[in-house]
Amino acid sequence: MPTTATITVNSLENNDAIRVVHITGELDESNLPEFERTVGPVALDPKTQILIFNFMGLKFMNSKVIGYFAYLYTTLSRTQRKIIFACYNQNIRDIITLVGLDKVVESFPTLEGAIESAYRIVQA
Amino acid sequence: MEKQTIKIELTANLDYSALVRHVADEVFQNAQFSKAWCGRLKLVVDELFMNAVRYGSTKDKSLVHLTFEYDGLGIRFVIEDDGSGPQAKSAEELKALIQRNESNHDLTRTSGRGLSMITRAWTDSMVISSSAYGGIAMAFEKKLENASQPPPSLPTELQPQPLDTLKVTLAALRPSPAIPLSAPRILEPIPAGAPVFEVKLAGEIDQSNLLEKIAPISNQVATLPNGSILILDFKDLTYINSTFIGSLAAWYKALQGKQGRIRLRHVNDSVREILTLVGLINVLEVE
Repeated sequence: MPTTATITVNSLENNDAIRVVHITGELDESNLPEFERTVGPVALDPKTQILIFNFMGLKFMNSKVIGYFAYLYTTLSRTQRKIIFACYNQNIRDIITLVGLDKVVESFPTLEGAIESAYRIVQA
Repeated sequence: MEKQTIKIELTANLDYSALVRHVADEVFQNAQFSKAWCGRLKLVVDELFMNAVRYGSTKDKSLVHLTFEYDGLGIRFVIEDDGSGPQAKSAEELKALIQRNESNHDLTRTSGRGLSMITRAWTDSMVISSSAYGGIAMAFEKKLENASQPPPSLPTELQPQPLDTLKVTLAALRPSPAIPLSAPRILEPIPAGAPVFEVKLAGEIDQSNLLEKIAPISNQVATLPNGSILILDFKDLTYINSTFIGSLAAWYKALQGKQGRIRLRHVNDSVREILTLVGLINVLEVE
């Protein structure tokens, strides 16, 4: 019964400046390396200005995954880029709030809201 | 409800994390916890299982022992390892590590939250002791009466410090003329005859030794004559936390009020990174 997650990345209207990572399933230390392999190159691509994480289908994540999001936040912030969270459920909100990540990463209840915000930032 | 006990032995492998979470969720539901609290306690069990497998066991060889006990009042969970892992710690060493992590308020750190923050916040009590299996036994309890909405907040000393607060504080300071982040900053020379005071800092500055480290400097800043130059030598400094950064900003402001300056010397990459992240690199003189 290994931990499974499906991760897909897409760009908005062929605009690589805004990319959306859709995650469904569960994330923990056992499949974090796979998550890092998928997301890492996208985050490190200088064309990516805003990286939106759509948590609509994410049921679980633990402190190791939180640590990776903290790393992504720090890495992108160094070059004035950012990550945005969208659509997390109560369990995910609990842990993000508990560790204080909600104080540094902007979150939206809907993916549409996150995308609108990302466009405003990129066009500013 | 009569007391129920469920004991499980699992081979030490993180591939079983999902199975452990599934069992934990079932147990917490049977113990009458709300859906939200089932999710929180499931995460606590996951953190403890990850710790036991990763640090206290030999992958695919050791057994990890889990015990759930519940009645109509609440739940007790214990996890034990055999202490054979290459990074195994004694109960006392683990307690000390958790204590150190509790005093780390850096929101962007990449590890150290599982036991110090999550487990502490969402359980009524956590006990770490030696296990009869050779390693560590970690136990927590949660009473149903304490599992109401919303979850208890962290003790004040553990609450993360919002970076926004620090940014507001920094924004209130008067920075030097705008300097591009990437441009090397040309420092003004120290005027001849200006009173110069140099302080050397070493090691790590965190919540455990913060007062001891900053009090002498704060006292000195308060008594410096007008036009003083305070040089902080970071040559042997390896770590600073966010509270120390707040002190740096306060000293900068105090010296500005005395037409003085503050200069940092021998700043290593990790400290420079933190100063850059909060914007202080553009405010302070950094050699």
